[in-house]
Amino acid sequence: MTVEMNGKNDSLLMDVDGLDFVDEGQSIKDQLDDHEDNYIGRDSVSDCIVVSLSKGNEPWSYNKGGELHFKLSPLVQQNIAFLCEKDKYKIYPVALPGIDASEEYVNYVTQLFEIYSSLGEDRVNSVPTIGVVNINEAREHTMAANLAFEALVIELESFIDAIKNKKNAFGRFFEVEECLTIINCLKTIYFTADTPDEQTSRNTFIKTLLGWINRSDGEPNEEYIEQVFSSSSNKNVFETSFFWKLINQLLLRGLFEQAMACIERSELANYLSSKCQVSSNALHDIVALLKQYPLDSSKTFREWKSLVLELSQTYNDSETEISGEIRDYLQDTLLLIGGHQDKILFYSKTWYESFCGLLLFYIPSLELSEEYLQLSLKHNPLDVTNNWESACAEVIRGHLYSILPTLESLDSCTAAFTAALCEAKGLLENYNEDEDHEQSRIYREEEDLFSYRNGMAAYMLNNFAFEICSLGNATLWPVAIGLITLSPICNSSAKKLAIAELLPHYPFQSTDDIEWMLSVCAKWRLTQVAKSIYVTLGNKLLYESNTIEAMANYSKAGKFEWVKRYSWMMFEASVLQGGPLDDIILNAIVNNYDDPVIPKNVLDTLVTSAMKQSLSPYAVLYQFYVAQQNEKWSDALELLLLLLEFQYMPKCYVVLLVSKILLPIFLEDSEKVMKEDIILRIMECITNKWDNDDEKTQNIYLSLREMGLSVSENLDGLHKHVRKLLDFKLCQEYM
Amino acid sequence: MRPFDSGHEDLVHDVSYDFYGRHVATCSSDQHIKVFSLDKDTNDWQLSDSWRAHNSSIVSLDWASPEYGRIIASGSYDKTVKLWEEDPDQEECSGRRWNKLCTLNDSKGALYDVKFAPAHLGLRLACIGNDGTFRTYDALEPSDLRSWTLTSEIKVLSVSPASHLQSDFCLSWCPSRFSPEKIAVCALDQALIYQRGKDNKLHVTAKLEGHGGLIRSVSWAPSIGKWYQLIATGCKDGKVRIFKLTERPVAHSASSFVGSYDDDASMDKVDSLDLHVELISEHDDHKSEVWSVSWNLTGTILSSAGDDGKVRLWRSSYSSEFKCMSVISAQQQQQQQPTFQERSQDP
Repeated sequence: MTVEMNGKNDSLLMDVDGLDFVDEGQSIKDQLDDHEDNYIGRDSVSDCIVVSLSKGNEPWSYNKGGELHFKLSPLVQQNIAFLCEKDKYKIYPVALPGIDASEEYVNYVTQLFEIYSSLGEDRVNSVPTIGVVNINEAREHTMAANLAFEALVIELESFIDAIKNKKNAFGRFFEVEECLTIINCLKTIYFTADTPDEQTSRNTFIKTLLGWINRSDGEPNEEYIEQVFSSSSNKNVFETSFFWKLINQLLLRGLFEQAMACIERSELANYLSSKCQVSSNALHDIVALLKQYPLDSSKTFREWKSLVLELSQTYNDSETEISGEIRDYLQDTLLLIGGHQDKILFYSKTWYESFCGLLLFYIPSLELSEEYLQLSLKHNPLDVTNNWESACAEVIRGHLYSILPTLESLDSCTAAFTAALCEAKGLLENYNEDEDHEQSRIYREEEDLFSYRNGMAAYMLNNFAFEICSLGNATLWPVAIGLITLSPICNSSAKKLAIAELLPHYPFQSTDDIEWMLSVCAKWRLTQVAKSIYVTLGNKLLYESNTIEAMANYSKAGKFEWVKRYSWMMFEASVLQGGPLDDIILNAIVNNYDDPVIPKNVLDTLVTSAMKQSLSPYAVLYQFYVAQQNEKWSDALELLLLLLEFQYMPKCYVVLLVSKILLPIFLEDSEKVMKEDIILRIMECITNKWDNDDEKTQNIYLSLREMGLSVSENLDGLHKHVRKLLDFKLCQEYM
Repeated sequence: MRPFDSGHEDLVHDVSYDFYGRHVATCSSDQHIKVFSLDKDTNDWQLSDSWRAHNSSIVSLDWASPEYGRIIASGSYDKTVKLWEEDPDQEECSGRRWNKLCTLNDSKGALYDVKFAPAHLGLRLACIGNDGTFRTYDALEPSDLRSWTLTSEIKVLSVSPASHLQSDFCLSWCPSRFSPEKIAVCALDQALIYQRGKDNKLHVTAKLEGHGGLIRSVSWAPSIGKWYQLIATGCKDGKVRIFKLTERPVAHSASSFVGSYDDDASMDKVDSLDLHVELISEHDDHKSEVWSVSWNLTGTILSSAGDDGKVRLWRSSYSSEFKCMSVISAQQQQQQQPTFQERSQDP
C-alpha cells in the first residue's frame, strides 16, 4: 500500500464505493478454485465440493452412471476407482480432495510439532487451587504460550510465502491466508496483551492488531489509491470526499505512514500554507502527532490523546480562511484520531476497521473489545461470505471453540495446533459437562482417544495425527506418534493401543526407520508389535535374498521354527550343490568368525543364540567341505558321521547326505579306507533313521533323480545298494 | 493423476491394495490377475506381472499381511479360492512371478468374496460363495504355505439363492488386535456378525439390521484409538449405513477389562462380551445403488461409490456425526447452455 507520486490524469471519476470486485454469490475462493485442476462445482445433494475423477478423462457422460467402485488406499494420494462395465477397463488413481501432501506442508507440520513439543510442561494449563500460588510460574507459562503462538504465526507466514507462487495452488493459498487472518485475530486478542513485559506489550499488541487488520484484506489497495488521486480532474484531490475517506481509512487501519504520504502527495500542506495558517498549523500538528503515536505505554497514550483532543478543540474554536468542506474534513480527521466514536464508525467501511480504530484511538483496552465489536457490527455487518470475518467475530466474543471447525476446514494442521495452544493457555471452554449427555451412557467412552471428554484440542490433535499417517511421507510418522503421545488426554492406555495399531503400518525403508519403530515399541512396551515388526522385516529381507539377516529378525521375533526352517533350507541347498553356499555372511558365521571382510563385532550383533544352534549342522557341513578340499578324508568322514548321527537331523536329510556325499565320495571310491567302527556307526545310523515311507524322504529322493544322479530306481533299492557297499567296505577293512 | 489401462480384456471386478498401499492387484472376468507396483519416483502404477489364474471370472482378491510374506488370495466363479506367492527371482511381467501355493475347492458355488484375517489371528482366510456358506481356512504351519485346513464351514443361508435372481455376498474382518475375533458376513440382504466363542467356534453374536436390498459391500473400520467398532455397508436400496458396535463384558465375568488392555493381553482372558449394535448413520445421497464402501487406514474417512457415478467421502465430526466432506465425480461436466444471443443466431 505504498503511494506512488504519480501525476493526475484525466480519467473519469470512478465510484470506487460502487465497485463490486467479487461476483455475487461467489467468494474469491470459489473463483480461484476454478483454476484448480479437478474442481468442478458443488454437489446438489450435499453441497460439498465436487472434483472430477480425472478431468477430461471421465468415463461417463453427464448424468450417466453405473457400477462404480472405489477403494481408499493406505496412501491418501493413491486411491483407486474402477468401473465394472463393459469396455471400461481403466483404473483411475485419485487423490483425496483437499489433502496437502506437498513438501512445503510437510515442513510446516514438522515445524509446528517442534513448537508444540518444545512447550514441555507448558502444554498443559494447570491452575493451582491450593497451596502457594507461584505467580512467576503463571507468568512464565503465559509467556511460553504466547511465544509458541508467535512462532506458529511465523511458521504459517513462511508456509504461505513458500506456496504463494506455486502453480495450481490458488485455492490452497487463499485457504491458508484466511487461516492466518483468523490466527492473527486470535493472537491479537489472546496471545499478546498479557505477555508479562510492561514495556513492550502495548507495542506488540498494536503491531499485532495492525498486522491482523491490514493483512486480512489488503485494503486500501494501490489501484484504489490511484483511482482516488486520478479521479479529480477539475479540482484538487483534497477537495474530494474520496481523499478524506481514504486518509481516514488509512488512519483507522494504523497506516500512518501511508496516510502521511497521501497527504504529502495531495500537496494539501502547500495549499493550506498559502490559504490558511490556522489550518496549515493544524495539519502540521496532525502529522506530527501521527509520527509520535505512542506505542510504549498506556500512560503516554493518554498524554498523546489529550494533546489530540486539545488540538481538536482549538481548531474547532478557531476561525479559518478555507472553505467549509476542507475545514470539516480536517476537523473530522482530528476528531477521528481523538477517538470520536461516531467519526470512527462513519469512516469505517468494515466492522474490523472501526474495531481497530476504537482500539487505536478511543480506549485501547481489550476489556472493551466485545463492546467495540457490537458497535462496529451495528454499523457494518459481517460479510458472511468471508469465513474469517465470522470466525474473528467469534474470537472477539470469546467463543474460541466455535472457530475451530472453521479453521479445520481451511487447514487441519493449523487448526489442531491452534487448539492445542489455546488449550495450553486455558482458553477453550468445555464442550459439554452435562452428565446426561447421551454419550456418557456408552460404556468406556470416556477412555476413548476421541472421546468428547478429552476436549477439542485432544480430539483435533489425534485426528490430525491420524490424517498425516496416510500422507505416505515417512517423515511425518514420528510427528504423528509424537502428537498422540503428547496429546492432552490422561488415558495413556488409549494412547498405547492406538500407537500399537498404527505403528505396524509405518512404511519403513532404512535401518534408522526400524530403529525408530523399535524405540517406540520399547517406550510403550509393545512387545507383540515389536515381534511383528521383526517378522515383517525378516520377510522383507528374505524377499531380497538376505537370508541370514532375515533369520536374525525371525529369531528376535521368537519365530524359532522359521529360523530352523531356513537353516535347514540352507543346509539342504548346500548339500545339493555339493559345496558351501555363496553367502559371505553365512560362511563368516560358520567359519569361526575368521573373515577379513566382516568384522567379528558386526557378526556378533547379527547372530543370535538360536541361529548359532540352528546353523550348527551347516557349520559342520562347511567344515566337511574344508576337509574335503584339503583331502583330509578321515576328518571329513568323521564330520559326515557327526551329521548323520545328529539327534535332530531330519530323516530325509540322512538319505540326502548318504546319496550326495557318502555314496559317491566314500563308498563308491575303493581307494577310500573306512575304519570298522565308522562303518558300524554308519550302519547303525541308517538302520535307525532310514525310512522309505517318509514323505519328505521320498520327495528328496525324487529331486535327486530329477537332478540326474545315478541312483537306484527307488529308495529301497538305494538302501540295499548302500548296505551292500558298506559290507564291501567292512570286508575291505578286514582284508 | 491420469487413468491407466488395466490391460484386462473383460470386466474388472476387484482391486486390492497390499498392506502399505504400494502394490495393487486387480482381477477380472478375463480370468487374469494383474499386479501393479507404485513407482517411487514417478508415482505411476507400473505392471509387475499378469497371469491367468482361474477358469472363470475372478471376482475377489486380497493380500495377506506382510508378516506372512507376499501372498495373494483370489476367489472365482469357478468355485475355487487360490493362493499365490510371489517369487522375487522371477522377472517382472514374465507371468511366472506368482506361483500357486494351493487351491481350495470346498465351495459348491461361485465364490464372491475372499478376505485374509488380521495378522494377529494367524494366517487365516475367509471366503463366501453363492452356496450360501462361509468358510475359513488356516495355514496351520505358516512355514508350509501349501497346506491349508478348512477350520470353519457355516451355512449362512438355509437355501442357496435361485440362480436367476441377483445375489451378492461379502465379508469383512474386524481388524482390531485388541478385540475378540469377529467377522461381518453379508449374504443377500442379511448382515451377520460372527464372533469366536470359548468353544473356538464362530457364532452369530449380532445382526446389522435395516437393509432394504442386496448388500453390495461391507467394510469394517480400523478402530484405532476407539473402544467401539464401526462397520459400513453399501446397499442396493441406495443407502450407505454406518453401524456402531460396542462390546460390553457380560455381568458375570470376573472383572471388566477396563484399562486391562495391554499389548500382550489375550482376549481369551475375557469371559464373554455382549455386542451392542446401533445404526448411527444412514445416507441416501447417492439416490441409487451403492456398489462399494471402503475405510481408510485409520478408520476416520469412509468412501462410498454409487450408481450415480459419484464417490462420496464421509468423515465424522466432533459430535460423532458422519457428514459428506467431498464428492468425486466420474461424470463429465454438463455442457454450458448457449446464451440467448447465441441461440438467436441459430438458423
